[in-house]
Amino acid sequence: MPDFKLTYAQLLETNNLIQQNADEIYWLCATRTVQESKIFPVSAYILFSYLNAYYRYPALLRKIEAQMSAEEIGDRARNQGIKIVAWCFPCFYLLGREMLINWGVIKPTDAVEDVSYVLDFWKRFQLAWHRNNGNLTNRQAGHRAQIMPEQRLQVFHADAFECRAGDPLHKAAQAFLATVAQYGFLVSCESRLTLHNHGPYKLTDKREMLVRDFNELSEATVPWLDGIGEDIPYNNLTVTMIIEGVHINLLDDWGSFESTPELKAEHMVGVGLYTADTLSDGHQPVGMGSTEELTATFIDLTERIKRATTRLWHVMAGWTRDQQLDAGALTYSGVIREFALIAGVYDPADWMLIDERAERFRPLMNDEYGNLFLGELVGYISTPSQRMHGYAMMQHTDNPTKSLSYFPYAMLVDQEYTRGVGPMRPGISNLPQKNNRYRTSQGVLTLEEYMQRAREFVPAACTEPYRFLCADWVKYHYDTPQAGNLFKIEQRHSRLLRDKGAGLSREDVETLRAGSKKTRRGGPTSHHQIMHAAAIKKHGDSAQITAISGETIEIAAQEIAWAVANGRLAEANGRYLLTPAGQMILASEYSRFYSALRTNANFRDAYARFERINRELKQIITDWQTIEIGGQRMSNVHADQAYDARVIARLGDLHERFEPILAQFVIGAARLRYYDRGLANALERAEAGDLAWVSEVKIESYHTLWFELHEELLRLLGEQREE
Amino acid sequence: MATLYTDTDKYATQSTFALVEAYNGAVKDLVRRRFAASGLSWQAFVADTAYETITREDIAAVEQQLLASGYRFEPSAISSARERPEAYKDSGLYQENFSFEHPAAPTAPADARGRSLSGVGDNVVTRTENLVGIARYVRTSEKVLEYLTGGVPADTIAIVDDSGGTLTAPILEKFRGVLCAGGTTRSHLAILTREYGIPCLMNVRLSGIKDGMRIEIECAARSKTGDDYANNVDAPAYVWRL
Repeated sequence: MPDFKLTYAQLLETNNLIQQNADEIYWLCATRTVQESKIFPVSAYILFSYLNAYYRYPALLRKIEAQMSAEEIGDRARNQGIKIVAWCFPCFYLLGREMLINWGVIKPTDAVEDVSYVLDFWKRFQLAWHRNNGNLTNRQAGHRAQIMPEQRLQVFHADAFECRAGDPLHKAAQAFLATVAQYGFLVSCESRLTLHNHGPYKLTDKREMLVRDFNELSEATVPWLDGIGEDIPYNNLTVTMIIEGVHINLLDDWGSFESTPELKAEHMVGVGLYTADTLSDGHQPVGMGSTEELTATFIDLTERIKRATTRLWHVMAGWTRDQQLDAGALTYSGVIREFALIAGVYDPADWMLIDERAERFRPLMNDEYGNLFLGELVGYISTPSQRMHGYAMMQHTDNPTKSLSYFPYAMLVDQEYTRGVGPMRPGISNLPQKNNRYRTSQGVLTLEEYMQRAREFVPAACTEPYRFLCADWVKYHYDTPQAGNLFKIEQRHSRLLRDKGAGLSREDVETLRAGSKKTRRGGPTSHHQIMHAAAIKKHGDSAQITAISGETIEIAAQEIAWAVANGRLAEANGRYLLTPAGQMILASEYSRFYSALRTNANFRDAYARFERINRELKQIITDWQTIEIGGQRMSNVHADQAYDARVIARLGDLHERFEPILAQFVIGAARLRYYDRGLANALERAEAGDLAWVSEVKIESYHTLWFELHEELLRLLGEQREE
Repeated sequence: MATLYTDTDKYATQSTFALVEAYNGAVKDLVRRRFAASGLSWQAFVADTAYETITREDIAAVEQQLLASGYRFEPSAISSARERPEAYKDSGLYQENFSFEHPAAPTAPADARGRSLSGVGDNVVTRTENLVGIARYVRTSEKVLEYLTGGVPADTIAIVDDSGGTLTAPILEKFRGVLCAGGTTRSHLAILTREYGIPCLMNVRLSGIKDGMRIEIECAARSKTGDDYANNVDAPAYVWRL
């Protein structure tokens, strides 16, 4: 960090970031009693971890940021999934500060540069991590965590396997979820720090998807999985869970969720399994080849995790209290060690030791004091430093308190502040040292190899130019090759979406899941084609409109119904006409859909030739409709077969000259092929003696179709009809 | 004598819990004395010397002040009392014929169906029927080891102290039901039992239930939600001796 200068704006922002966390501390803790445990002195280790975070985070974050910026780490975290850092990271640190203020060891004006830096890092990380929803926290989003981009969600959506309560996949998945959750609690010393959820994501009217991350399962960074996690082939697992008939109404910054009605096993109707880490290039499918393979994978992993759970339980039950205190505190204060893994600067000496400045307070960390002091800090909000003037009403409680102390602005004037806690100090641990085996998606590596690869590896989605191709860009560029490639990166390992590109909608994916090959749906283009067809075939029925539009029967039916329901088309006895607004909407769309065609030289040249031949056609039709008898033009009653045959022969001759023109039209606008078939059909019938097919208005005679084609061309090219 | 920044505080009252106030006050006293002795400005003291002048030994002495007066801590972890019996109360972990006797437990004589009300808790998931089983306290790692080795007896409704899913981790899924004397329906143990599909009441207050008794737990009661906790809405799920 460059030379530190205290400014009013900076203090204002830092206090706001403090308060963002302060309000959520109470809310998150209100529905949980102070945690107790029979194995772990949980509250005591939590307090201990806060102190460790306070003394170590500033130096550790600066070390990380020397390698990779907070916002880039946020991008990587979004790409690979991450443990619950959102609330924990700033609050562990700030609650350590609050403890020390209550002990008189520091003042609210101490370590000002550190505090503002830690919160600024947090802000930049969070904003990048939450980039797809534009919020700082789940709290800001109304307790919702929409983290992933469309391209990843589409793969999760498409590839999840259907399951129903009682079937083998459902049973295997439920058993796995229970087992891995319990193992996760144990690995993280009876906390939820290795479990994380994000979502919900909407799949259909009835279905939502919850993405559930289970991290640090194998030979991870914590020493207590040495010799225990090695049987588990993945360090991180992500379960995509499709639920039906239930709404996730709350997903908080601890990654916990609530639902209405309450989520039960039978609500799960689809499931998928993935692994992702710093070196994996996004989420790689695990056992996702078939329902049977996924079922077998869940069963196998469940067995492995159960064995590991029992072995780990034996290890932990045999720990001394100091070892338990260390393990829990390091799990908590180390909640952001994944940042160091991502940046390629992880060092166990940084993350697996209690800083000696925190260590000196160990003798205070007895069970009862731990429960009570933690309870006051995060539940009752009742320590002296948290009290405010009597008019104040804290969010949620209306009490005159606030969870976290602000920076006093007076230090802008009196300058009585200190900048930071200084460099890292040595640390201690009562736990065995971790071995040098780290499970990654690229195999079990030594730390040196792991960090080397982490520093060199950039996931494809985080490379230029893809890194900055966000949903708002995709929205307006989905039809470009670059958008296609962006989606294909995610689709590389997808069973259903491989190489499908960026054009699919959520509904298309749902259709694909249902096993249908038809993935097109009504979109802007389909909508336009239907409206356009209705303009060409005035008072046409749905079959005629469908035929001209070139859309499928299903899509045309949907679009026609939508247009009628929304005031674009009027319907009378099964026939359709554009409403005045419909005509205006349609008229303004041609320049959008045909701008390229309008500057297409070949097409325009063909159109010029068409206009010339059109005059000839009009003469032929006039000659067909009238006959000269005794110097007078009379209506042709078709009594003179030789005359009629001559006119039809002229029409045949014209059609031969017209064919190359039409071929040119079809190259420019494939849908116009419709006229090729129709005109040839009309001519053949006329030549076979069915005279109505020359110019009868009520059938698709040669002239009817020719006239409609002309109307098409005028609309497409934005020309006016010559009369 | 030097004073601390926080010694002048218009709004502060003491910490609610005496133990917290006692220890936090003693640490402040220590800092006050060391700061005065240093003769330094606060900035110089906190930045350069506070770490050296407030040591682990000082903090250990603070802890001892209370223990020396005969105070004994309330234990949470088994290891705490096991390692320092002189510092912690005995919570009856190894006591024969133990039963929870929570002051807030509702009790009533046997009803028409022969059920004696013996407690109440917060239901985690609403089931179609109540659960009947055998009450068994699972409070020590020795008990878990016994069940790990010999198997969990059939129809066990485990009674555990608090939200400790960890203590019972290797055997949790073998229980028919769980009564937990702490936590809420959003606690770790609640999440685990929900995943395993095991009926569970959290935050139970019990009286008169001893190891081996047949009990019924009202897991058909309405489950208690986060909103219920936030708004102090009562949602009792009862426990009966049969």
